[in-house]
Amino acid sequence: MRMRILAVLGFVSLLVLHFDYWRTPSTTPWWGWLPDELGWRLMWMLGALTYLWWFTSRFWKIKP
Amino acid sequence: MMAIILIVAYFLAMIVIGWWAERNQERSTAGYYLAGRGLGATALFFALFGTNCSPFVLMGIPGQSYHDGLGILSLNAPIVALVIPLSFWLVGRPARSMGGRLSAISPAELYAKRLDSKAVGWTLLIAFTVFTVPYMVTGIQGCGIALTRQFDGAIDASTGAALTLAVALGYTLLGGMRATAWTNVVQGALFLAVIVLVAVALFTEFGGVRAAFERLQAERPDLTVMDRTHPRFAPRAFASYELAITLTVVCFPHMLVRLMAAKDERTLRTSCRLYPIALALLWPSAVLTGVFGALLLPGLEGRASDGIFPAMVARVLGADWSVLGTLAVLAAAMSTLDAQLLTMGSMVSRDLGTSTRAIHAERLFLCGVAAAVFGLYLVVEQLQVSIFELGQFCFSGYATLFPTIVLGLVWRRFTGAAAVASILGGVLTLMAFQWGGLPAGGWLPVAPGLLVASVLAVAVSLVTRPPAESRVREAFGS
Repeated sequence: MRMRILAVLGFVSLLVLHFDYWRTPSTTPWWGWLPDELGWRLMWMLGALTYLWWFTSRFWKIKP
Repeated sequence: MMAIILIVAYFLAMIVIGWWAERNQERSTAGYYLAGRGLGATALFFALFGTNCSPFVLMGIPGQSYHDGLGILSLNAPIVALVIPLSFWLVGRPARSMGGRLSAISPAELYAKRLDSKAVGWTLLIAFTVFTVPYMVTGIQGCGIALTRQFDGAIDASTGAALTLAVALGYTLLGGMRATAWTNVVQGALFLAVIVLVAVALFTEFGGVRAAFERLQAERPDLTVMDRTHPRFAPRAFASYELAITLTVVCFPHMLVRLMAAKDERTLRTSCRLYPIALALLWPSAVLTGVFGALLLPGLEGRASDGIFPAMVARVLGADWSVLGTLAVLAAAMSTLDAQLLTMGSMVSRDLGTSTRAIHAERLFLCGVAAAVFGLYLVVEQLQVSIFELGQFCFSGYATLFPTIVLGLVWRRFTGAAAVASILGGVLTLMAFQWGGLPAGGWLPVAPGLLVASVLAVAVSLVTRPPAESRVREAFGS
């Protein structure tokens, strides 16, 4: 049950971060060159990748 | 000359794989349409990846990014990289096991048997046809553009489209699912390698990643932001598009049938792990090709930007290697087209006809589907509809099927009447908002369509008689 709650919370958190109309995009590029929009989305995708790796390793158990 | 040799070699390689698959496949309907329900991890991953990556990604996305900038990445890539892999767990797992228990070959057949209702099979067949055939048109449309550009108009777009369709039909007819899965391995690796190579060459041309973005910021700052006042990126339109682009993939019949062909659950889980990595390489490269295309090759108006990907390949790799761009587009198109042909053929054959027909006779249905696709392509070309626009219409339609596709697999109480009501209600609502002029308050038509479909799916299930317990037990295995 704890795993299920974690899986749902992780998914919902990613959705909230994706629908980011609460965020004011920065006009300053990251490190002086990477557009904020691209940097933000790539970081989000890294987060999603980590979540999916956890999901397939710990949550998605295969019954024999 | 090199371009002709490489394209012919590619077409021949696909036919050879089809021939090899034909020689090595189980002689049964399940063997032909589902590779004997035995696709291993490599074939399944590339089959899913190749099936889902069409010219919409390789041509439509760079074309739209050319005009709208990095917002197109925000709109598509992140949510797709999360939800599609999760759908392998939510939908793939039960669809694979239920399909095996009910001996279902096509998605429409799976739901007709699960819900014990022929009406469900017919309704799904019609809905899948209405949204899949136009989507198939986007595939051959991309190939037509790429081949015309490759040969400077010596091959016209409709000839290029017909040629691609004929080759895809050829190897699909020969080897069925096994052929399409293994051609997808070659095609997926090819278009992924080419698009990443183009992105690397592009940054090299600018003198590095940092220099490229600094120039973009200086010359086209409008392309570096997601303009939230643009109708495409306004909050409600953004949210509705996210619904369409993610839920639609779950409802692609050609994806469902791949999931049903998985050898076991472990292969599905492996695909779930690898899929986002491949998407993280593919989508940013596709968007950046379009965005930097606006810097290097400015001045394309409207639908002309659909040709920016092959144009950029020629620009950054040199004219001699422009054929790689054409091959990538052909690979992306055919990897989706073959799966769609096979799935539509299986549904038309299994759901319109009897299930005892010989395999060679069933193959005639694939030819009928291909002919319908080419006929619609000619109409779409007359109407000058862009790949992105056509893709968006199809995606919205698929998304309204989502309640039926998911609830049919996970909710024992779901009924056949609810499925029919949900599909019809969702699609009719979508059409009313799309073409009937109903105000959607800033939402895209897919949002009210999905809402109506969801409400009907649950409400009608609760007020109609539950499905027979014996059939439910057979479907769910307990």
